[in-house]
Amino acid sequence: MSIRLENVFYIYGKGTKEETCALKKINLTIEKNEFVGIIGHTGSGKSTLLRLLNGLERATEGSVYYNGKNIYDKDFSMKTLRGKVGLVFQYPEHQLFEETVIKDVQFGPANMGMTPLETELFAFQALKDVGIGEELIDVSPFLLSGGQKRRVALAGVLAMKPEVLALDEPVAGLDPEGKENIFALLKRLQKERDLTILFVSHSMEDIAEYADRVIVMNQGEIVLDGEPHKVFRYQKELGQIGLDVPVSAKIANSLREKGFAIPGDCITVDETADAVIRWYQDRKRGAV
Amino acid sequence: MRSGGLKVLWRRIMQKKKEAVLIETKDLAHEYGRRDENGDVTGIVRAIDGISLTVRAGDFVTVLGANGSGKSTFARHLNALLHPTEGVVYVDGIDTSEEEMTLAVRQTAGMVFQNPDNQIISNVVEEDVAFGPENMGVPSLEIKKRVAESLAQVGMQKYRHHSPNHLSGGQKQRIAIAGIMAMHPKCIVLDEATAMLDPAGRRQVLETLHRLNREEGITILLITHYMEEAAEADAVYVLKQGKIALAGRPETVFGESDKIKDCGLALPDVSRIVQKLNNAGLPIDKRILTPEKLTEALGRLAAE
Repeated sequence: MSIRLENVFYIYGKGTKEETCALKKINLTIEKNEFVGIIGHTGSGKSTLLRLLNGLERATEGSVYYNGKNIYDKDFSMKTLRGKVGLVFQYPEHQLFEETVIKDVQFGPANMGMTPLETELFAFQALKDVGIGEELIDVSPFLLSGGQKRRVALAGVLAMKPEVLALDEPVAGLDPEGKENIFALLKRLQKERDLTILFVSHSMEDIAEYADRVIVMNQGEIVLDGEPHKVFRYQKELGQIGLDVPVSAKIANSLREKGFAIPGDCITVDETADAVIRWYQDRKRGAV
Repeated sequence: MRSGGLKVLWRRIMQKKKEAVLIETKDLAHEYGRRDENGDVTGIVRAIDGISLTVRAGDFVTVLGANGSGKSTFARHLNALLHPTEGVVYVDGIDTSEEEMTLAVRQTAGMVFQNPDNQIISNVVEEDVAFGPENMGVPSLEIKKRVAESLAQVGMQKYRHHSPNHLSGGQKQRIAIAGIMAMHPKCIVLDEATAMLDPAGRRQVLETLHRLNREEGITILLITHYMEEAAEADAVYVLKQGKIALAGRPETVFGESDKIKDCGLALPDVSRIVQKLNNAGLPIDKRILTPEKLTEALGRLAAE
């Protein structure tokens, strides 16, 4: 299972005065089971990129391959693709609409043409996965807390049994506890359900903490792509395109500039703290 | 003669006292009726449960709290969008429950909301900023002056003829702030106004707020769940289940890491690093909240 984008262009309002190139010559491969973060300032093309993956938007030029098949081929089923690549929009809880939690989660799989038995089974399983207990399944989704609503919305996508989850700012507006819950859930889905996960984020700290790979976008182009420890070495370049490095990386970098023996790949709280502690202990040992 | 002098002095003292406190809430409580699909009330939610606090004119105050802690409900009281179920709210001496004073309250304390796209109504930046003063009946020459001034205050004068639709989230929020500044408020209340912005946008908005606070003396009430945004505040209040769980200077509040966690919040990364260093025996001041201060402190440690 992989997703491949070849020379993809996406142009809004082609032929009008407002013509804008939202994506420029994107070449990208996402392998099965990857956990990929996408960063970029507002309007850099991140959300458009996500929408291409399940065929919600169609590339103006270029091709998108899912498992080696061109999704723009005539005999390719977009409906199946939309079940395989689950797209989770920003603030997905705004799209909850059913009377009860369970009905809302069943809506997706029922629409995909699954049997009532499958629909029910998958909905129950999805709610269990996101940690919504049985006592809540017959409750109106509108009575739940923000964090719970978000998880119900996520369950609605999971119930369609996707292979890929593409999430647009999955933790926006959630408090730290709600945020940790969502990321723990996504990590578990990656490991236990073999899902491939892509998420757009504005938080460099979240990328450093959770992503195995980070794609950096600027003005419709991919400017950096790699393991977060490597990508966050480009502090100056990221600053120039309106982004940043995690606070922990900033501290480690400025200490190194001051001549501290701190390695260049500290990007999380633990990594920076451990490096400083090691420096301190080495120094103490040296003094003795 | 002497008594006349006393009178003047007394009036001055009263004036000063009035100026000193801009917002005051006393035992403020707010209850929502929980309704079923037929609209019948099935239960009562006490979103705010006895909040008493004062904000002095010119202060930068941050109100922190997890989702559902009551912080947005609290914000809406300061702008007379909600009225107290119990207790009172005074904004610049005005009781917000007096309905004929609602406009005066809103001109004193302007509000910026979370989603920048929901607050912009005009096709041209300039017109959007002019909307508030126009509605207040400010003469048009004066409006022109105010619009130019407030756009300069938020650093957006370059964009005055632009369409707001093409601006970034941070720029849109600055336009929303300019719209409030044009009404000459004493206070700006921001309800999670940075939550939907990218890092650059968040920085822009925070810098703008600190500048307005410093240079124009505008009182700022910033409601957020990002603890980092509280680091430079004069005072911090942490809400939990509608009550004030913690209050004080940021250094003091951030020192209470267990209570912070208990409120569903997380310490900023700088504080978490400091905590780890302290645990490992490094003599670093636990009140340090910014990366710059931390590297300085470590620099001093290295020089010893």
